[in-house]
Parts: sequence; structure tokens; C-alpha cells
Amino acid sequence: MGTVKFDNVTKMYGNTVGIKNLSLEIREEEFFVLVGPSGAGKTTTLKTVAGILQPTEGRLYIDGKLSNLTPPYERNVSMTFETYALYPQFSVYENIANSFRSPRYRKPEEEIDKEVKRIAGMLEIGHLLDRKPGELSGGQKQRVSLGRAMVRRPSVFLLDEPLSHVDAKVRHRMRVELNRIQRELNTTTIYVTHDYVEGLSLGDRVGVIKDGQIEQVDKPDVIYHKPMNEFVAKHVGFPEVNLVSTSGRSHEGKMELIPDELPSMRFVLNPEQTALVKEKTRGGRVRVGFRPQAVLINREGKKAEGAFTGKVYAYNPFVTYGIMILEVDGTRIRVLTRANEHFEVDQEVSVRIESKDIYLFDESTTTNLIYV
Amino acid sequence: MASVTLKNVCKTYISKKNEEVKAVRDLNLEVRDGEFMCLLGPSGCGKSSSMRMIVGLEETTSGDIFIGNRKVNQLSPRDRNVAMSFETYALYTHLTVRENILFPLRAKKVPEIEQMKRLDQVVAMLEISDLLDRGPTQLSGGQQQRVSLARALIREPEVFLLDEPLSHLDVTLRTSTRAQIKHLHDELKTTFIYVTHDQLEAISLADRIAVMNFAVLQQVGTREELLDYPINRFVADFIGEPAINFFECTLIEDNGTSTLKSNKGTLEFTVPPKWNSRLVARGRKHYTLGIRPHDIHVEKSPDTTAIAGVVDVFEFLGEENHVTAQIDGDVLTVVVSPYQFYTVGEKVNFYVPNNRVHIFDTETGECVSTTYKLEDKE
Repeated sequence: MGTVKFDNVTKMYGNTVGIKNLSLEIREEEFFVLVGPSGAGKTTTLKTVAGILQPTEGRLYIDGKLSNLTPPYERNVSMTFETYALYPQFSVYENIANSFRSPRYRKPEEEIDKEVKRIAGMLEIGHLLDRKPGELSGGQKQRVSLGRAMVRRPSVFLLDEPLSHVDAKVRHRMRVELNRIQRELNTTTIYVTHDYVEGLSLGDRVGVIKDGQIEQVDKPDVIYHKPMNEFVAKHVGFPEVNLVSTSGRSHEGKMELIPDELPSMRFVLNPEQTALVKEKTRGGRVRVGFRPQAVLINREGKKAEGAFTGKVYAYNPFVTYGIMILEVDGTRIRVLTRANEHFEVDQEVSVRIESKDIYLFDESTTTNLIYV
Repeated sequence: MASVTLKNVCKTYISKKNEEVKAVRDLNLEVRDGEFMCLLGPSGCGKSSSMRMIVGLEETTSGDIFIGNRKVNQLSPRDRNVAMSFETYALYTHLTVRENILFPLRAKKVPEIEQMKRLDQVVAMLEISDLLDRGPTQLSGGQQQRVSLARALIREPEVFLLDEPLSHLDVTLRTSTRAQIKHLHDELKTTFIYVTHDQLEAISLADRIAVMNFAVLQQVGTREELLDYPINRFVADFIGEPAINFFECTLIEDNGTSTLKSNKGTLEFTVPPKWNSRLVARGRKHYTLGIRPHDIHVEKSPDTTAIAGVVDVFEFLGEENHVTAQIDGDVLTVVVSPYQFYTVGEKVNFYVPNNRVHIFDTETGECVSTTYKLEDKE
């Protein structure tokens, strides 16, 4: 067991929308990641499943059972909180064992001991059991908080921003560990984060949420490579996708899109894209999205079709890549380069973008034309 | 424009318990004229104390600070001709952006015409000309940051110090502000000293980086030097993302060749012949191998060491993919291209160029391969 179904669920806080007409099915043993900016309704969604909040409208099913009014303690779900919410006066052991101390879930001491140690082993916190939360690092607290949720063997886990308070390096490691734990546990999980990287890394499927409404639900590579709309394209990927407004025109039998603000740039469309623009837009007006890594740098001596020139505004080299800000017709675009490149400010650089690497969005609705 | 030289600078604070706390120990550092230098380290490493001593907000306990050829130890902050922008922006909320930026010039009674000329220059450079009549509370974080930079720059300092300027900005804004700071340095060619705990920021901005830990300067070098020639285990671990892979190893000697063999797994690394005798002469048994995730490849090429692994976790991340593999008891993280996909349980042979393997003395943390490379260069 372990399924959750939202059927047209709305949650209002007075006149403010928490989530709106949410319809979503989370499958058995699935790791579902809900990604969105703060205030998008992520935590509201989790709290609705946990039973901390009741839907204003619509139906919520847990394991196939209508659960709108089921009290939290009768739902077989467990939630971890962004702030960990550990009892500071209890040891790590007691924090994890605490779930079994309530009258409803009480278990014999030796069974509790066995469970706590099993979980602690899995999370590699066995050596911390006697410590108090105040003596732990952020990453360790996070694991204790996970352990407390896992020990009850719920049918659904609800994880609220578990990695947001640990530093970048620990986050890398914890992400890998969560991948591993998820595989061992095989329990349905709803995981909420503002960081799209966690969604791509951990999710069987990813839901992108904005202003209380789901924008897209799909596998990570589809979310990344076929974003539903401009919002999804912007929210997923680093550096952020470049977006330009363009007009179409025919040129030597092919359709070209010319950006309003960057007249020296053009996107030569392939036949499928040409058909999309002709059938689904008015007068060939399209918003074009291209990711920073889609901008390819022409090496010396090569003259490529559709190439255009820009001037380097700044170049920031990182470890495994570099970010160049290129000025084309006075507009800046983001370009992702390989590591160990070198560019000078004001240097002229010739670049090109292949048609297969661009997204076409409807000018007014911002929906990706492949979904229209 | 001026260089900044710190000679044997120490800073000792007296704690509430009346104990001496050494914040900076014997710091020797030369920031060249026009250079972009980052002071990098974890919190409490002494980087902020160092900066505050350069600005004059703190006195040195001992040692000398020179700006150009002038010894500035006894000079007040305003006589040092340096400017600093603060992490928290520190704007006057009751003044407009224009008044905030002009504040340092008005305090110095710079003629009005000169004030306006400089104002035009800095607002153009920082692209804030449309914000001049607003109050700081009407600005976004990124805009406040730029106003704070403008207020420091309008003084035309010889040295410009920036304290964690990007730490309160979101990811997208950070990308554009980072580019802007880099552009600004290129345009002004003033000496920049930039303090941060974020290694990626330092790597992406600085000409050279000074890495500090526990009040001690560890290494000064360019991005390439710190990545490829780390002086010790701390620097190797602190710089780079994802973090460097470490393998605890034992030195096995056999007939004039030495091998470093992992204590947990099957990883074996043959010590390059030219270093063999030197390594043996050190007389130590335990070494740690360090391999950066981006130095590992899946294509075989000459002069590489093969590492046979089993994929434990595969992460699709869009711009690059990460593989975490089990090498028996050891764990190896590898950065692969966004077009390479692996499944859990898959057996993969990884290859690392021998000259990209770092050898650390396990006991002291010294990177002996860097030491040898530097000796070989001489």
C-alpha cells in the first residue's frame, strides 16, 4: 500500500489560495518530488496529506480511502519538517523511539530497541544515539529527523525541504544517501523542495508547482528537456534558460525566427518546428527558449550556418563548467562553457544554436507549442 | 590603485573568559596592484578579521600592513583610501539612493560638479540610474547590493574590499551580480579584495585566492593551482564541487616500484617512478589518494589508472550527470556529461590520468604529489 490521490483539491486560507484544483496521483512505492518557489503551495500539499490541514474543497484519498476528515494519527503517514523539530532535551535514541511511546503505538522495549538500531544503522547514525540534538551538525539532525519518520514504517513518507539547511557539500552527499535509502525502503514518498536539482536527482516523477497550481508532472528528463511552459523552463536548470520574443519569416525555403531585441541572431527551424509555428501561432510570433549550454562556441576558422557574434561582458570559470555572459545587440545572454576555457572582457565570440536545442513557447500563454 | 602587503600580521582577541583567541596568525600576503584577490575559508578562519585590519576597523596585534608603499597601521580608516561594501549593505534607509551614494563625497565636501560627474559614472557602471530617487526599502536585494557597491566605488578608492556581497541573493540574481562584479573589476582595474566562505564564488571571480583555515593562511594560488596543485588535504577538500574523492591507502614496496593500495577496496595506484625513491625515503606507510570527480573518465587513454566500479547512485542533473560508484569498500563520485546515462548495479571501468591523482601524507595532510611537482618544476 501507499498511494495518494488528490481529486480537485483546493485549500484556502481565508481569501488566500494555498492550493487550487489540485489533481494528482502518487503511485505505490513512487518517489514523488514537488518542486516550486516559496509560497507555491508545496508545504500546504504535504500538510493536507498529513492531516494537519483539511481540504477546503475536493477529495483526498490515501491508500484508496477517502481521508479528508481522517485525523492525522489515524493516517499511516509520517512527516519530517524543514526545521527538523527534534526534542532538544531527548537523546537521539529517545527522539527516534518517541513514535512508539504514545499510547496508540506503544511497543515492547526490546522491539523498540531493535527498530531504533535498525534505522540508525541504515542512516549511519548508530554512533550518535546517546547525543542530544544540540550536539549534532545540520546533516546529522536531518538524518535523525528522517529516522524518526522511518521508524514507524508508514505507508507514505512526507519530507519537507530536508536538505535546505545543510551546506552545499553535505547536500551533495545527503542527496546521494537519500537515493540509496529510498531504494532500500521502497516506500511511497512525497518530497518537497525549492531546489530543482533535488527533484531531478531523486524523483521518479517531478511535479512543478506555482501559485498553488501544478504546472507539469513528468519524469525528470522530460521536465528538463520538454518543459510545459516558460515557468518550468526557467525554474529547472542552471544557469537560467534564455528567453527571447521572436517573429517568423521565410528564408530560402526555411522558416527563421528573428528575436525582436537581437536582430543579428536567428533560429533556423527544422520541418517539425516550422509546422508547429505555422499551425499553432498567430503571425509567427513565438517566444524562444534556449538553455545556456545550447549556445555552442564556434572555434577559430569555422563558419557555421546561423552563426552570430557577441561581445563578452564577463566570464566566470567554475570547477566543471564556466558561465559566460555574452552581449549580442546590447542584450545579454547566458552561455555555459566547458571548464578551463579563457575569455577576456569585450572579446568577440562567434556562437551558434542548433534548432533541436530550442523550445518554442506560445507568446501569450507561454505554453510549449509541443503541448498545444 | 595600489598593492596591499601584510607582513607577519597577527590578531589576538581576548575572550569573555579572559582567554587569548588567535584570529589571525602570522599572515604574510601580497595583493598585487590591480589584482582581484579572494580571502576564502570556513567561518571563523580569520578572513574577516584580516579584511577589517586592512580597512582599519581593527588594529593589528602585531605585524605591518602596507597599502602601496605606505605603512598604514596607525592610519584611521578614512585616511587609508580604501572602501568597503558590507554583507548587509548598510544603506541609510531615510536617504534616497542618490543621497546614499553621494554621502561619502558630501562628507568630504567634494565640489558639486565633481560629485555629479562621479555619480553619473558609477550609476552607469552599476546600471542603477533609474533607481536614484527611490529609498533603499523600495529596492530588491540585488539592487541594494549594487547601491552599496556604488557608494563604495564613488570614493575612487585605491583598494576596494567586498564582504560576502552575494550571500543574500538568490541563485539567478547571484549569476548576474557575479558577472557584474567581474566586469566591474575589469573596467576599473582597481585592487579588489573579496571575502567569502563560498569556494565556487572565489573560483569564479578571483585572479588568485588566499585559502585560510584556523587563523592560518594555507595556500595562495589561481583557480588552476588550487584545483590541480593543492598544498594539503584541507585545501583539496575545501575547493571543488562535488568534493574530491579520498582513498585511505597503504604504501607497498616491491622491487623498486611502489604501489598505494586502498585499505578498504581494490584500488591500486602505482607511484610514478620519478617519485618512487622520494616517497620511500619519507618512511611513512599511510597515504591518502585524492581524485577529483571531474578528472575521472570512462574512456581509456594512455597513462591512466583503471578503477573498476559498480554504479550505486546515478543522478541526472540536466547540465551534467553524477555517478556514485562502489569500489569495493570505497566510494567514488564521478562527473559525466549530460548525455551519459548509467543504471544502478552496472559495472563501469573508470580511468584517471596518473598526473591527476593527488597523494597526501595521511598523518600531516601535506600533499606530497604537489610538493614533488613543484620540486620537479624547479
